Amino acid sequence: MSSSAKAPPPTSSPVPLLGIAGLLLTVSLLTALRLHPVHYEIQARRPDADDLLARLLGDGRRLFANHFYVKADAYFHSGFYPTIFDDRQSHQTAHIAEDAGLAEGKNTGDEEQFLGTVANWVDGHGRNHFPSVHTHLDNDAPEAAGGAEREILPWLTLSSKLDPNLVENYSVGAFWLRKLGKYAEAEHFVRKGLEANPGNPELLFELGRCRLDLKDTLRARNIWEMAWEAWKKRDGSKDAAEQNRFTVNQILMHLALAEFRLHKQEDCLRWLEVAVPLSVSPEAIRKRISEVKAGQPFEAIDPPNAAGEASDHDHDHSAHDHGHDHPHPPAAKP
Amino acid sequence: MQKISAVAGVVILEMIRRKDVYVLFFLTALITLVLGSVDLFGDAKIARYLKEVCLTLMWMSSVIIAVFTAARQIPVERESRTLFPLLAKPITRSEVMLGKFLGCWLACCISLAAFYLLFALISGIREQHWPLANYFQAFWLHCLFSGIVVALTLLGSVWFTAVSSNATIVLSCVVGMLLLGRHLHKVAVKAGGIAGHFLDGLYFSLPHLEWFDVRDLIIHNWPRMDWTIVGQDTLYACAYAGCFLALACWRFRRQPIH
Repeated sequence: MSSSAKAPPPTSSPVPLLGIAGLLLTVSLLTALRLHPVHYEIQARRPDADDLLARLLGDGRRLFANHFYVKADAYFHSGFYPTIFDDRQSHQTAHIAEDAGLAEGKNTGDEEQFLGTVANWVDGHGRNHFPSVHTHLDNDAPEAAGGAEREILPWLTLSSKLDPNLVENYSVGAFWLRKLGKYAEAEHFVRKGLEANPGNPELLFELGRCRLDLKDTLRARNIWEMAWEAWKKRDGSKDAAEQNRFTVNQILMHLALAEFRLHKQEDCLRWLEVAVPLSVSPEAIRKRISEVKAGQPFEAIDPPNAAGEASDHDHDHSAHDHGHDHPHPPAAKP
Repeated sequence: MQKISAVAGVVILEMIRRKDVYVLFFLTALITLVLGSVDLFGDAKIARYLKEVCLTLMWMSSVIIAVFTAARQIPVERESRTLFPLLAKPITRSEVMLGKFLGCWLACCISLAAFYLLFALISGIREQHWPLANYFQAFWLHCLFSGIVVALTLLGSVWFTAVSSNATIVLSCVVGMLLLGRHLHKVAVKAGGIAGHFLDGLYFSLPHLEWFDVRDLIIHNWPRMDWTIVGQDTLYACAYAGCFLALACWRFRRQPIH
């Protein structure tokens, strides 16, 4: 009795229901065929349609980009990094960029002492639980040997995805990739940056450095000429205070270096002459000019400092102690 | 002790039956493995970002497990009226409370052991480096942290009426202390005056939960801590957990259960 009570009520034949389902399926397939080209066209208008981060966060993702750029710098210091509660004067410019010679250093103060002196026993004991010694990944960090700099790359990649217009990500990332010997990856990364920021002089300059590392001096020279033109177009009409003199000095000095390596002394001198009025310390450039005229080899320029000179210190990066007295890099051999 | 361990055993069995821990473990493993499969410039040795993500998820999971396991113990027993037959047995209320604490804490430690095993495997495979002593230190400090949180939550469970309010308040305090505990003194110095004294009072009286978070040392492969420091941390955690438990027992003894 109980089993018959639980039995489902008799229904009509399932054929009409299956027919309706089949009809609806046909309609949906036809609609999909009809709508697919339209949808495809709409998607093509949105280049970031397949980007999960862009879909999730929209343009708001740019707000997080700088956070991850700074995180890459924190990784460069193996976690020893000031918080918003600490003295951040020594970390105003990311050391990953400053050490790479890609940003003018604005850091002041002692980068080792941003925690200050031990205030009390709680503070003293607490410092045993987080990194409290200043190190750099490429130099004196724990397990620094063997290319530990690679650890900053995920955050730079993420930051570049969040804000494709934050050019520092590409130039800094490319520098450290080149340092790890990944020249092709470095160039590919910079080219991705250039896709998002066409004609950006900083990225063109970095692209030239990628070519120079691959001993393609001629193409590096051509790219830097493009960078110089791009800089003039962007900053040429601005006031001196607003111009990015740091970048243009780098571009011009590297142009001079490339010309020298191509045995074009006249052109080398011409670029140096162009650099004189744009340099904060023209005397140093004039000294270079006289050295080149005297037939001396064109040496690498001092690392970037407050005077805003260019650098070519990629080859001996380990000895750097940014923000303070920079040791002179070895001469670039023509 | 037998009565306490019997109550603790029931709590552990309850955690094993519930699905929360499995879900959190599965999610942590899944997210870490998916992120680990991302190709970053063809360099398979990049590992620290993965360690950071995995440890962060582990910490989030552990806080959720500790708070929500402990917060529901007494109120659920009371609502389901299983507390009355339990207290009708020859067991004191303090023993029930201690048993609940021991059970919750051991449950947290067991789940943490599984999480740290996963972490050690992932980072070891990726880095080809097995600093097991460092991992054990991190695991032990994490267990101590869970002990303080469980004790604090049990105290909240006999203080606040609803599980949700207790869990929310304890979660806010724990997260706040993890993020700001280290900096309270600096803020106090800058604030000055009465506010400064108040913040300094908090700085010295509240448990410094951030001490037990040594993720940065693990992520960046810093050398392991001195064992003396770990010993001091253990004493510190025992003192705070004991203090919270004593308060919870006192409150529970005086509380009408009807």
